[in-house]
Amino acid sequence: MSSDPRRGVVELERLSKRYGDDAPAVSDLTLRVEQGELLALLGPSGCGKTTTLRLIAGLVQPSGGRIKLDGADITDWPSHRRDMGVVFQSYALFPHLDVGQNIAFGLEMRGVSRRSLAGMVSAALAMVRLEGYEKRRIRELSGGQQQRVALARALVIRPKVLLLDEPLSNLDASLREELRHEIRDIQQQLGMTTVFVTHDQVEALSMADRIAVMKQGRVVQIGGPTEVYEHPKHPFVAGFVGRINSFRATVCSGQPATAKLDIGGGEVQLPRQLAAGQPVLIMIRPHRIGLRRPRSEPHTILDPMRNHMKGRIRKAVYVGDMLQYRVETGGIEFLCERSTRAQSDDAFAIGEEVLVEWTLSDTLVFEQNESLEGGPAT
Amino acid sequence: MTTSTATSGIGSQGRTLHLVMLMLPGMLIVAFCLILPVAWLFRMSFNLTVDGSVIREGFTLDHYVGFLTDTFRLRIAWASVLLSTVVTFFTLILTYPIALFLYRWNSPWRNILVVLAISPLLVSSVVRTFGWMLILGDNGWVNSGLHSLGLVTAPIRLTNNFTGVAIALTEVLMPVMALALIAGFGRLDHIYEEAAASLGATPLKVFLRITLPLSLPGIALGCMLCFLQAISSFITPQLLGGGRVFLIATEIYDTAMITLNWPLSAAISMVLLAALIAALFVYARTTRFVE
Repeated sequence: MSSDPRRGVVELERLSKRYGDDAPAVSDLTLRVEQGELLALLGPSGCGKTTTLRLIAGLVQPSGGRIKLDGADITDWPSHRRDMGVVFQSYALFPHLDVGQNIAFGLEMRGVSRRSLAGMVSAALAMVRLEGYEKRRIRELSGGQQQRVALARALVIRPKVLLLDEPLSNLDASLREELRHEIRDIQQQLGMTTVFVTHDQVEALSMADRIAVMKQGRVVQIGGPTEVYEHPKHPFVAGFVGRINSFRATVCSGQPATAKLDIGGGEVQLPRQLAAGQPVLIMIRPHRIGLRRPRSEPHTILDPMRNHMKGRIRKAVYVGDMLQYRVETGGIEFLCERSTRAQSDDAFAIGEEVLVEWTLSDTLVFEQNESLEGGPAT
Repeated sequence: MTTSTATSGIGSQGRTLHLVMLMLPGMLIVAFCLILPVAWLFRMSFNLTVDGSVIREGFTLDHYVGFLTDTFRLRIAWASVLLSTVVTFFTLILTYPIALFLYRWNSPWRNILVVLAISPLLVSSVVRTFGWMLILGDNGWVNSGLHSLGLVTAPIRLTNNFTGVAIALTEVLMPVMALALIAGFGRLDHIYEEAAASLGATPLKVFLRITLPLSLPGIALGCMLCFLQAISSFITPQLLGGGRVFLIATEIYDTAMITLNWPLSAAISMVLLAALIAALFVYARTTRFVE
């Protein structure tokens, strides 16, 4: 199962899929998956990510556009000729076959001789750490084991591309994290071009080489995890990839380098120049917001490269690795996250007055008229 | 743990009582209308027949021995098994695509079509058999059509023989098969076929390796129901057979009502019943194997 250079480049050109008279599930989608890359299609349910995967697998036919694999146009190829391994959300393991027969199925379809079959099946099972499970019935397996068998079944045929449709969504949290690493390890070991559909931003950020964030059948932004997380091009991306504070505001004065605007009661400096009167959306990640007690510091040394606002703690939620505070400042509410330490007693009390602060470069600003659909981030 | 067991023990006793009371009317009807007559028939099958038709209380195995050694009657039994097998086979072949389509079709029209497919059950099989006589008779639609096209000179015999009975019985039993297949398709999820296709299976391989095995429970149920109904069918063979197709059910009728040999008729019925119970066992074993 060594990686073969020159295989597994998938190109989607202006691909679209429309079911009946409904809004298109996928519209005008163009993207390229490089050889050996793990690309995550990330988005809320109904954004067209699963349809995109099914289009690549040949399980549905596009309404328009082309699909290419290693330069060859495969748009009209039936599914069984495409040489793609698919792991379905429900695994779709054949209930009337045992584990070994499930894994051997794709090999038999390729005419692999009976003699080499057994060895290949047990090698595939070893890869997913299920040695000796050949004779087990499917319903005797746990969810995690079924997931592994589905992965082994898709990989044993050495597909050019591996397609994973929400493969971890039916598993509990700890198993999900374990399998996340396992799938990523196997994928890198084989150098397998992989398209991974998920609605879980942590899954996408931790596993993918690149993430394509999708909304209403279109890719809103595509890029590496850091790029998508730190430099979202659209409020939807900022809102979907990670928790975020977001406020509507209007630019009220246009001084050089920074601009001020009011949100609720306060004023915020912006990291870049904007024309006065411009409606904007301001977004700040909760863990990039600092909290401190105003009395403990002299009033004079406020950093000009940071935003400061006075507020009051309204709510505190302890979630183990961090404390989530809801801080009210002049009519608006900030979500702030602070990591916890065992030996600390600097937790804030409810009702306590605090100073909310964050650096200008952590302030994401979106001009409202530039947004794609005009809607606010959620 | 002990408390919960105790509570559920009392609860399940109460539940059992409720269930028994709920089932009682049905059980009484079954006892009076099925078990008692069958027991009476069973007893009757050992009675003596004097002078061909006079029944005398007694105990003899003559009728069983007579039936099982009479080559004419054994040939009738064989013809029944053959007819039922042929009818079941063609019913399955003709109904399977319809049932699969109806099961798969994702449309508001689906339920209407399902009702249409089983609507022949609303019409008495006597009426349907008369319909087939109109179609298949020597001057029926098939023969007059073929004749006017100049394809045949003499009519093809499609009534009063095995072929006609088989054709009509197949149509009569198709709704039953459709119901059984649709009910038995429970495990047939399209995602398995998609998975098989993604693994390189051609449409034919997908059908043979995935669709067909997963629909075996429905096939077994439908075949069992059709076989049982075909082998015990009476009206269609009687009407379309025109007295020239001898089957086990018609033979039982003739023996009882024409020859008036009730004990022999009862003995044949008992053999048929035993055969049907055996068929049920085969069905139970197959489905267990399939599961």
